[in-house]
Amino acid sequence: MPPPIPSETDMAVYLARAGFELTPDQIAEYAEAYGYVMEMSTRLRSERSYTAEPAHMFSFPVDTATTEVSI
Amino acid sequence: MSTDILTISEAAKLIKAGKLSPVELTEMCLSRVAAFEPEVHAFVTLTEERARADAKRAEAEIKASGPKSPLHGIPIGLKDIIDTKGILTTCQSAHNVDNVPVADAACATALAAAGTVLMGKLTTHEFADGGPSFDLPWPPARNPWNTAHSTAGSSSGTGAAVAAGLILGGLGTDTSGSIRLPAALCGIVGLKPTYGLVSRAGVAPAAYSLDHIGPMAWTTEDCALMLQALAGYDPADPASANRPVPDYTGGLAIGAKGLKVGVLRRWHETDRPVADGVRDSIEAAIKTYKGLGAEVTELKVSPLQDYAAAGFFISTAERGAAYEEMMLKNPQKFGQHYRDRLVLAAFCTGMDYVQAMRKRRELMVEMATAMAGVDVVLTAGNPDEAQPIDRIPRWENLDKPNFTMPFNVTGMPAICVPSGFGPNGLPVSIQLAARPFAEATLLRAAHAFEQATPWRSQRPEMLNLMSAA
Repeated sequence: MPPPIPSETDMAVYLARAGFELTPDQIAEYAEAYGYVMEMSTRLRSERSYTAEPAHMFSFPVDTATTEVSI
Repeated sequence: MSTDILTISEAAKLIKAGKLSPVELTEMCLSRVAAFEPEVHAFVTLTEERARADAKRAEAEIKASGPKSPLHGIPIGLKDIIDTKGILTTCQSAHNVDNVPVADAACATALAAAGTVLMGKLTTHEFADGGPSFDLPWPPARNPWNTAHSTAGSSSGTGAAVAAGLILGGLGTDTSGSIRLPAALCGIVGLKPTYGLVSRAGVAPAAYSLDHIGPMAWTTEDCALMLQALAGYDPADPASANRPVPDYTGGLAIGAKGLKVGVLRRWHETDRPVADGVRDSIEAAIKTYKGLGAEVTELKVSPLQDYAAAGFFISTAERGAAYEEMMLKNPQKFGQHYRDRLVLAAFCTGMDYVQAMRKRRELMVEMATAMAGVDVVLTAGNPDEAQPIDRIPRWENLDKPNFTMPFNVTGMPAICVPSGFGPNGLPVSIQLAARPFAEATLLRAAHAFEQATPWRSQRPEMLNLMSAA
């Protein structure tokens, strides 16, 4: 699926907020990449409760944390 | 002097029996460095003097009291994002051309304590991402099977150095496949252990919650021997897992009989269709496992793109945070690939990052549930053979998901093992993954496959030419 067409205004806002100073030519180069990023961001959103917490990488889900290997 | 290349296991047996000295072994490796390094560019810094001193010391120690581990006297290399006391550690970046650490990284200390011989610091993509780049102070590594082709990355030098026999084993780091992808394309074995099993202390971060350190070597057994020296709790790494380290080599010979293998067929057939050579090698691997007495079933999980999306936002945001100051102060000092990656961080909002971490939990639970009924899962390693080094699309990592990121997102151990050659004569690979901390089972499955297939007997043609000479 081709990436969505980015809004140059959106891109400029994001870049300015991050403190990056890019030329119009450089901004244009990142338009294609921005499209892919926006496309991927839609995959993160799904129906989930507002109580759904993020992963805590320092402990695995309980159902795997206790798994021991026996050979 | 023989130019036959030994595995770590073979060399260790000869050293223990007094039939090979670490000095002789190190000189063999140095002679291959002299012959092949100008073509493969595997080293940023060759530590020839250090290697000879390490080898001499190892020889004396072994003569006095025998080898202290199977790695005693074995020439190894470290990816150049791993700190080494008194030795330039560049991260392949103009930002770090003068960076000489005052202490070793924990993983470097662990391998030194096992008695290894340090051959040098190995080529990487800048700060372990992007590339291959031609605008950095050092050239990118090239694939020993065909030097016009890429090694993949970012542990590119480790992949190339092991494949070319410049070292017997080395360390890579893996944030989205950077151990496994160069292993797959260079025709060697690369293990990404469970998150937290090997300390990251003293290693430049790529993305904190996705970063792993692991071994790359010619065989699975060699990776097991290295992991044995590397695994263990380290309070200096906030993510280090405080749990006992099992024996990783004791069960290797058990074989695959009774092993339950789950195939994630949808990933390589639908989500990212692989090249014919890779698909054929996966089907052949399934047959091999069945022939060995394994039970093979099909598993279904979320599309590869879901894992890629979560991994992308997490890695890009974490990387952006880690290198924000350098990017703001001196962006032009980065090569284009890494600068690209840092610019992308500007497009990731705080909400994106949290949503990615929420998605991650769902994917971790999903994968754990799918794995509950199997011992290992089988996927493609890389979708194709190595690409020409100068023809890699700029946004490829955004356009197409890879097969390795899912196990960075879930933190589960995964290994790439050679599974044949494609129509261009370059290596292809399968990937196996297992439950957290089930490295012993993973290594057993990989070793059984390796023993049942002929792929470990073929070395890059450049080495055959040297042998003939």
